[in-house]
Amino acid sequence: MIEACNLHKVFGAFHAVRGVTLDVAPGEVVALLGPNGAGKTTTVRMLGAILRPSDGYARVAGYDVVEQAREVRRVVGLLTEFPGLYLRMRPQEYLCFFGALQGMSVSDSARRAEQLLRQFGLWDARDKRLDSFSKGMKQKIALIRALIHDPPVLYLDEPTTAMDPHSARQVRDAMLELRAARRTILLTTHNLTEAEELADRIVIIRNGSIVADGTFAQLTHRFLGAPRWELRLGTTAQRAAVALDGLVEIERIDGESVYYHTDDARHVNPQIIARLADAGIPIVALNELPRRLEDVYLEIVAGNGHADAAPFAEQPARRDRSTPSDQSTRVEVVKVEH
Amino acid sequence: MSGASAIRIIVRREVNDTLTDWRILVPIFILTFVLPQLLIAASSVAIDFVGDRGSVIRLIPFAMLLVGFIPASFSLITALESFVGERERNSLEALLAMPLSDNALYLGKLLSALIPPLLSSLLAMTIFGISLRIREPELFFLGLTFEYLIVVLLLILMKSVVMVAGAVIISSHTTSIRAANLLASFVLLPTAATIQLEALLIIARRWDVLWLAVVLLLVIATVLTRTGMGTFNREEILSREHEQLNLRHIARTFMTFVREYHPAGTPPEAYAGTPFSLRRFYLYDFPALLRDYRLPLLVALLAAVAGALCGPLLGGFFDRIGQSPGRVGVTPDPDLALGIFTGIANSARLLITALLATFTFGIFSLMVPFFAFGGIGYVAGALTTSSGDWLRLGPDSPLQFVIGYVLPHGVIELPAAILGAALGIRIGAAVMAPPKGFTVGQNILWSLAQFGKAWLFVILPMFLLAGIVQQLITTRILAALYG
Repeated sequence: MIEACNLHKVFGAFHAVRGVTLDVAPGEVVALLGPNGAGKTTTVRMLGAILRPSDGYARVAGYDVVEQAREVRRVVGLLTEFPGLYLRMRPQEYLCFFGALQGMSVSDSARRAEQLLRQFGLWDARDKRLDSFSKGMKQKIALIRALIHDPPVLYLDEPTTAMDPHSARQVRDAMLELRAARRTILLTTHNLTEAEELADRIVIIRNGSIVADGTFAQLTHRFLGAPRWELRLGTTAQRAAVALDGLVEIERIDGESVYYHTDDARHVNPQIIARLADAGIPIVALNELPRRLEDVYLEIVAGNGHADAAPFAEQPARRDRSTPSDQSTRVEVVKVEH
Repeated sequence: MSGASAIRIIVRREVNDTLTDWRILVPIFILTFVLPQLLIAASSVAIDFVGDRGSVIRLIPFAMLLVGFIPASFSLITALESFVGERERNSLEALLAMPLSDNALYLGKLLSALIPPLLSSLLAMTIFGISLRIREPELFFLGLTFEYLIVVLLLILMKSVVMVAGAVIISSHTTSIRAANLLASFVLLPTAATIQLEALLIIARRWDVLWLAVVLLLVIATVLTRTGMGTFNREEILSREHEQLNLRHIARTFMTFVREYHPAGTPPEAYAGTPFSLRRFYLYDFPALLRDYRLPLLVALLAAVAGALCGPLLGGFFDRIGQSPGRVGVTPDPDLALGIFTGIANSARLLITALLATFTFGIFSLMVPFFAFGGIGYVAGALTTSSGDWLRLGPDSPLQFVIGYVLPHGVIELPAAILGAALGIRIGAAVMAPPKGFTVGQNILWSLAQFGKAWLFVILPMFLLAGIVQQLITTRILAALYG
């Protein structure tokens, strides 16, 4: 649905985007992450046919962003970083204005506006002027503006910024609905929990270049290594270390806990339990330690990872929603007690 | 959706927005309804005070001009913030993301800024007319004629379009409302000067000249609107967020355009980066430049023809600068230093007009061939009138004047002047319509770079050579022809 190849954007002497290549399948939700000034918004603007790429090409829903810019703008719904509303207008007339610019009839845009205002809990405020709206309400109106023409592709730049938790939940639920309706979504956010929750795939951009691209599981494995396990014992961990020698590479021992990494938990963990049982070492708990997108992100963006040396170039796998989630994306807690 | 529909949708929203803003409505209301009454009252007082109805009657059309112009001037405020205001309120990007053409968006904004103040202006003039008719019927009948009304109406309309078109250009090329307000003086000062000029012309009852002013304002309005549409694109407005005045980058881009020649629109990144070569310039680059400058060369040539034809009408001017038929027959002594000085002076004059052309849409450059050929046209025309025959040779022969005074060095000097004018016109036009692939800034730098190269390696040598030929050859031919 979105295909970008070697996109560059140069503003005078400033090279904002350097060779971004991106492929987003229909119905896929991709989170575009990166520090401020990394080139996320510029990339989105190029993909929205607002900015013309200095080099490279991009197609959205089959339309070229340069040659068929107006068609691209018709199939894209853009939630801008700032709501930027016309504050003297009322919600429905504001939304109908953008519906009209998208070529919708007055009745269609009014009907769609009503449906969306109800969905986002703003119908009761329909007679108020937008300048009386709270930040969160304005953000919701901006999101509805992006949805008014029911576009197949959505670019959402910081969709839940400035929202209270309840409103943010509403918006996230709406995005989940859109995902279920197989809308293609490119989500730009600094909220990593949100990205983790909503995105099928994470793309991290830094200094205008993509430095990581993959599912959460892929990125975690690549940048943080194999899943990390904590084994809590009923006795000092030194004995366990001896018992486990040669079975698993122990990262560290801390009091009554042993920490180790393994990719093959299904086979390794039962053996560990068996050995410890044979050695008469009581096991209190065996947990996979949760790993967050934030850790991956910081590893990449802070430059501690390998991203600089070798940008993530392999074709990313997509999460298949019809199958259960990848094991390593879920924290699996195993408690074994003697 | 058609462009017209998009324009209509934008205009409707913006006009509604303006009409719900009391900060604009209140002053417009006062100016529309109160100002006409005040001016009529002032006229009555003036009659009593001056005691001369005739003088006051002459001022009535000017009062009407003021009544119409002041509300119309509000268009400047709305136009100035049309784009930059939306940018500051972060509402522009959503608009730019809509499937509208740049022209539809630009014209929508332009009309939105123009319509409410103009309607208010027309209403104010109507109120003034009706009130004057009721309160001071004599002033109405003696002070206003149908022609006055039409001229005043057109003057206000044209001035409003000029102001709005200029202000929208400023608005779409600045990064803040504050900067736009500062730059508004580029619109305000000429407008104020125009109003003063119009006041003088109205008092002097020079309606013929006022009609010319209408035509001139129409041309300026058209040029400004065309310039605005040519230079507006959503790309640049958002790109400007990243723009800083980077002199090093500007210099680097300029030097890129100097070193190599590629047609306008080729982005600097596409240049191979080969060093400048004088040989390549003369053999390939300059001929290519002449091919690409066909249109400006034609315009310069037309200006030359127009100058030659209009020369006889501007005799007084040419007499004052020493290009008088009375001087035909004067044969100066050869002076090589004077020739070199003339060459340098002509080159410098061309350089200055080209630089001024940057800010005047090339008008200053048009003047170079116009006046160069205008002088020749004037003297030749005057000689034709006195001798009655073009082909006959003799002291008062126009043909002999051309052969003696013009051709020997003119075959070098006049093409140099036309070339220089074409290069200057291209600089002036750079602002109006940058070719695809160029920003306005790149287009100006490109045309300046072409001018710089051609001026240094073609025009300066040609003018120097012409100056030397003038002193060493022309003087001798003149001595032979005129004794």
